[in-house]
Amino acid sequence: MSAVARISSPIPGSRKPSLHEVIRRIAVLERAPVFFALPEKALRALARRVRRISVRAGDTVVYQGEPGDTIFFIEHGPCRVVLQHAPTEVAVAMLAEGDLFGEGACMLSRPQQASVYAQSDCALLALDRSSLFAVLGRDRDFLAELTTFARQRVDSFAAMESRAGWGAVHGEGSVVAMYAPRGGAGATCLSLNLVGVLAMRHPGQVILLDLDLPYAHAALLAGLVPASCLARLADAPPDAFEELLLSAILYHPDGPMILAGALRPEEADAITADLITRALAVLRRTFRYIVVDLAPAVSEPVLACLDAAEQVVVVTAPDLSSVKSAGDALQILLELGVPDGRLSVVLNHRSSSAAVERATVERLLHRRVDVEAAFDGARPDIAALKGQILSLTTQRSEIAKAAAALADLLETRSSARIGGSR
Amino acid sequence: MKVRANFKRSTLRRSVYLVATGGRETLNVDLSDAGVDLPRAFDEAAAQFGAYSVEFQRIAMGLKRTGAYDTVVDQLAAADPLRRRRSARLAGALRLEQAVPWLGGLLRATDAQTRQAAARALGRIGGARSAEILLRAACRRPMTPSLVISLAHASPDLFLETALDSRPVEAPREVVAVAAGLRRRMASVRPLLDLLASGTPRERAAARRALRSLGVARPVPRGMAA
Repeated sequence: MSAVARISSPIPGSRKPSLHEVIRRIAVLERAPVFFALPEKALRALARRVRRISVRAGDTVVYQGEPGDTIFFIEHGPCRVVLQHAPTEVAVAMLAEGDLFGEGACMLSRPQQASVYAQSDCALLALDRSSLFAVLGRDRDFLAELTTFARQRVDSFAAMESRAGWGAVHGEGSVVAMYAPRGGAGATCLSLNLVGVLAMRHPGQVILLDLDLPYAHAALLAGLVPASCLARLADAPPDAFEELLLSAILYHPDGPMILAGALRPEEADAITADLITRALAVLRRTFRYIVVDLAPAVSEPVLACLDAAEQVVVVTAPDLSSVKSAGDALQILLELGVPDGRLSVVLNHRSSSAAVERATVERLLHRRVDVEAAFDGARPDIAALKGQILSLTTQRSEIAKAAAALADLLETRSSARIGGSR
Repeated sequence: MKVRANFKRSTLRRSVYLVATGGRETLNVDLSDAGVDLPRAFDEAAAQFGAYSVEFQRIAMGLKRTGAYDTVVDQLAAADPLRRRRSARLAGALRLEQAVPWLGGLLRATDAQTRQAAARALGRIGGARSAEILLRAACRRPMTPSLVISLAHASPDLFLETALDSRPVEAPREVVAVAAGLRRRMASVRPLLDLLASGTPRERAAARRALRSLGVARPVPRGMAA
């Protein structure tokens, strides 16, 4: 590994960037986490101030332990993030196009947490602190969000380092598909809480894959700011796919992990059945439980997930439309060959008065409801605002109780399956 | 007189603290009062809260509301060199990025003290724009300690390394090399080694000095650097 950077570009800022160059820079900035939410005017101002830097393959861009005052955006070429603890070093992330690094040192005024190497020839955009504050110094909300993101990433790299050997803990993981055929049934909330319960029982071995596309908000509900997502790995080279996928994972401070499907609605198109199959193959080798929050549409990606799932949980609200949709979905799943023993039904009360009673739901579905989540008032919404997961913070809440009951059911079935296969 | 000056300084410090912590919105200061060392008060605040902290931003906003910001920039073009120097110090202490082009103009002043004050202010404000202006000034005038130190302070990550590696050469590389040595970043080692191998005698001497300050006592052969 090279000890120094070899960088080539003209003196930064010595010439005004052309309009074409500004547009190209904006395209890079608006892909970056946190920055993508900035208005066009701010992006244009930033684009005029960033410096374009070329780095050769294998060279070091930032050194662990050194001070830093610049945020680097990756225009092209992957970069490897490495934490060094003599005599070993741990690769904690592989960053790709649209990602950024250096924000920890820049925003938190702390030494660089890790060294960053160019995996191949890279083009970077460098935004120094002075320029950032000159353009966005008054936008306190943005700066606060960027600081939160920086803190979150520092924590996640530290956690990843300590869990460097996680893959060897167990064998193939179990995929649990959470499917609400009609939106608004609370499947995402239930998925998050299920992941919370399972993560408490199996720390570091449970992940939520958020495929509730095109608007995947599980990370937001958990108070996390995603930097990358599955959709952005669609064009990743096969040999780097696993590393890129694992480095896109977000860590909740209380234990659960989340992998966002897409950060922007238009990215949802990049998620194909093949991409999901490849991702699940990697995640199954790494985690004990992979809980997948699915979108209501019966699309190819959703079917690929259902094919790969050991357990399918159908979530419905107690209203006629939801129950009818759940009935149809169960019928389709049975026709697709999902064994009856791997299907579960959760009845989630989203309001204080249920339009349809549990007995009626069971009669309409021709099967019993496995878990019933009683109405939890405003608790789930308040928890989402605070970025909390109720099953970890308020275990007496109704949603937490239901998640615990569902986890019990899934674990019993999972251990029975493993016992049976032996 | 001394008691009066102490009293003024203490009052100013209290006002700055109040604005920084959100207790007051505007910061009323008399920029023409030579008896109060305003830059020092702002430096103390920057050291206490951090130059990029919310608190320091509040101080900047507090001054902006009173119009003092514009006065500082205006006085950079004052006829009196003393005023220009004082404004340059203030702009530096306030990390006044908007003043960078005007400070760049002061680097062409005939008065050496004004040039020095402007260079220092640019070093404190920092960022690519300040560093670029200092680099251009280095092209025009012989290397001075204040210019090199300010360049080292102002340069953001990978700025000097980029300047060392640029082809064709757009800056006096011996100045950049000495600044890179003062900045002490490992990313500078490779460009400095390259300069040591291919530079003019002056550039090689500067590169050797910089590498020594980076802790690379003996020049490493090219192939060994990887």
